Amino acid sequence: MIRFLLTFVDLFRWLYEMMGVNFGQLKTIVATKMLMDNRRTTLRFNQKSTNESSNSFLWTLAIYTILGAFLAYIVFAVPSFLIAMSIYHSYVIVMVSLTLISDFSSVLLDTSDNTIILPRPVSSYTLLAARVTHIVLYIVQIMGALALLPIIFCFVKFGVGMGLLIILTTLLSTSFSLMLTNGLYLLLMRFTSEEKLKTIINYFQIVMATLMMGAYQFLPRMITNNLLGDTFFVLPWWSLLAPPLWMAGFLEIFYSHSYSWIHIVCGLFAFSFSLGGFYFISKYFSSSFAEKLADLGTSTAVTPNKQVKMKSSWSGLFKLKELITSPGIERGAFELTTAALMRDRKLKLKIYPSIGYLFILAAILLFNKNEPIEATLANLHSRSIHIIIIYSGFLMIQTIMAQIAISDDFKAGWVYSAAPIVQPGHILMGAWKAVLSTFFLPIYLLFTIFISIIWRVNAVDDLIFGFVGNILVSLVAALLSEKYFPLSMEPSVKNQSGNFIKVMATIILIGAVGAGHFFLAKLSYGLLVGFPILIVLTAVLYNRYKNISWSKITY
Amino acid sequence: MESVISVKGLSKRYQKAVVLKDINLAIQPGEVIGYIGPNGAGKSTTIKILTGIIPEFEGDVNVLGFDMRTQALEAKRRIGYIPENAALYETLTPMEYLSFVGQLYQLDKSVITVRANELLNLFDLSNNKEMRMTTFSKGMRQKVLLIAGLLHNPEIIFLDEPLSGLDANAVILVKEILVQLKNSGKTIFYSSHIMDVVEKISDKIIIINKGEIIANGSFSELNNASHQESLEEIFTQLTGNHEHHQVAEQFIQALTN
Repeated sequence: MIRFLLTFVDLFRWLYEMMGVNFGQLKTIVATKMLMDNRRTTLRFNQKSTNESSNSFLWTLAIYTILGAFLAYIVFAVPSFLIAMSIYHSYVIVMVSLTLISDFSSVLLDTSDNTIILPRPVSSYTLLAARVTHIVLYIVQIMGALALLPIIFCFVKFGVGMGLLIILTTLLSTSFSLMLTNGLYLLLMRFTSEEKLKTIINYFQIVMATLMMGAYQFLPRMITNNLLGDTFFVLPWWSLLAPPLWMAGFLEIFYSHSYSWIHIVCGLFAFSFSLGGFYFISKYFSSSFAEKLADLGTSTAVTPNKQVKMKSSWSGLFKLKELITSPGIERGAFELTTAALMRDRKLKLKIYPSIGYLFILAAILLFNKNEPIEATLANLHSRSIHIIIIYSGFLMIQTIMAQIAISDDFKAGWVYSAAPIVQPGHILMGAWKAVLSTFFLPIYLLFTIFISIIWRVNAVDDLIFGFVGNILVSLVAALLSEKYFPLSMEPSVKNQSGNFIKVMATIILIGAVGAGHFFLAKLSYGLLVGFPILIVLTAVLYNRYKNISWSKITY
Repeated sequence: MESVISVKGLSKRYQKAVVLKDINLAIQPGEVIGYIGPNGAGKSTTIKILTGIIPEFEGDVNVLGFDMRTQALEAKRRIGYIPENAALYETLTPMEYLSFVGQLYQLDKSVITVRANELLNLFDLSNNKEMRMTTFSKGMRQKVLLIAGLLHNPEIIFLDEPLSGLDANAVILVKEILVQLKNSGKTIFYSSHIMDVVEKISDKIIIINKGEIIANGSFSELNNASHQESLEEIFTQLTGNHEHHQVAEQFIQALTN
């Protein structure tokens, strides 16, 4: 693949040399960066690979091709040309922008070039040209994977002429995304520090990961949505605020020979914002981007050490810790885990999308029927679906518990072995309580509010029983799984055999507790009788987990 | 003799913070310069300016006769730089990385392969040369950086803390390499915290503190001027950090309180 793309670059050798670029150096830099792209851990393939021949980027392209197949299906199945094209271009713009921000920002903002390439005899023109070529080749690959199938379908469905025009608007959308991303970076770099920029990028990564996970659920379902059946959709005035509709509006001029003012303006916007904006940014801002980037890596100025302050919204958690943890080892582990959950960007990137996905699943579960949202909401209280929502909280606890042990700084775990700890279970308990209080409690509160609104007073006993039920199941899962101290496990150790069986066992367990809850709720006083048993069981398991000995710990 | 490094009135500021103040240097060919100073004194910034990494500064900086503001590219072909942190593309193997760096210096592929193999072998890395550097220790990475900085046989070598993370054998080897490089007429600009190495191998020692040069001369000259026995004592006296004993006492007191 790299060789093929470099052969493509060879075709433009004359152009590079005309600009004063050292073509040999450019090819060396681009080839090396593409080799590193292939080995880079991407958002969707987070595990570290030690396999020399692994090619995670090819897997990423395969995922994009699958998404492209969904898009192709939309293009094929949606009767309204305007809606089909709007969805297609929305997806192109969103995917390219988010990919550039999430997966590629580490490459765009890579300051290691400052110490690795800048000391070598490489001119700034050559380095800039190599960076731009690398970005273009990266996008060509992503776009190729994402747009190939939809474009083939467009050729088949709308003919060669429209197919070629759709290629043009795809390129315009890509150019628009590049402008958008570039503009966003410039804006952020102008107003924020390097650390804040990293944090903001981290949030984009989380959105991207959630979107990727949600896309598999939502895209196929969109086909059955009423909106997509609308064959008489016309461009509303607000199309002028929506870039994908500019592209769709421009295409409709040729598709249905619509020459209204809104179509013409859409066409003008499509070209002027995509090309003009890009020209403006490359002309006036790219140099300041490069300078700012150079500053990120070379600035050695002493900056005052800012004290990291917890956000005020979390201060309640620190009052809570005194209520729910015992002083000493348990509270120490609680504080460490809470700090990691709030600050560790990699950890957040693994945890937050799973929580977002939980909400997506809940939405799908609630609104999956082909009926208006108002009717679904009105009929919801007659179904016992709230029990599933209540126990979905456990999935979140389980996801976080599985991640909290893993850290790039796992070597810092020596402190657990060096400290005179008699009962290591207290550390595990502190971490478990941190997960519960940081994520489970606030989200269970949200569930409680939602369920109380829909199911009213009928669901109060379910909510109380379910709360303890979730805690019980999470304790069982914690006792069943291999026990690591928080932040003490090397990332590559994660994929061990036997995990699948444990995951299945916990899923069966939560299913059993959920089913038990459901049947007890059907009996008169069922939950009232079951509740004391649940409490006793939870207390027994709680003590068991707290008193785990060193022999059960993997470290 | 014409200086290979000539610095006149060099100053550098980051926004309001002044990092370097009116630095003047004249380094002769074949000299080994030990450049020392406390953390944040401006050592790395000086080296980054001398190697063309930071192109914006006040004053005149010439390396091998090239103006580092306008002719940095020409100078870079003939100098080598080994940075402080193990800054390399760690997803590459040592061979891939050295091949990449060699090509940036436009060395012939066969020359790169032969030299890289020989140097990796000398540093006991021949068994790891096809492994990705993600799994390497700090010392192993530092060895690869040293090789990358010397691969094109530069006339001046800038080293920023080159011994950090190296094991005892590698430290001895690097010291010996520096001596041999000196004997072969290379100019070495060496920044380090390890005073005894600086003391032993340097022809001239420059001490920088808070962006200003506070001492510049051979060890015996500094010795005579300060009436101190070792470089460590001279350094402590000149940089004003002579309250170590008192701080240590307070430290122990705080532990026992």
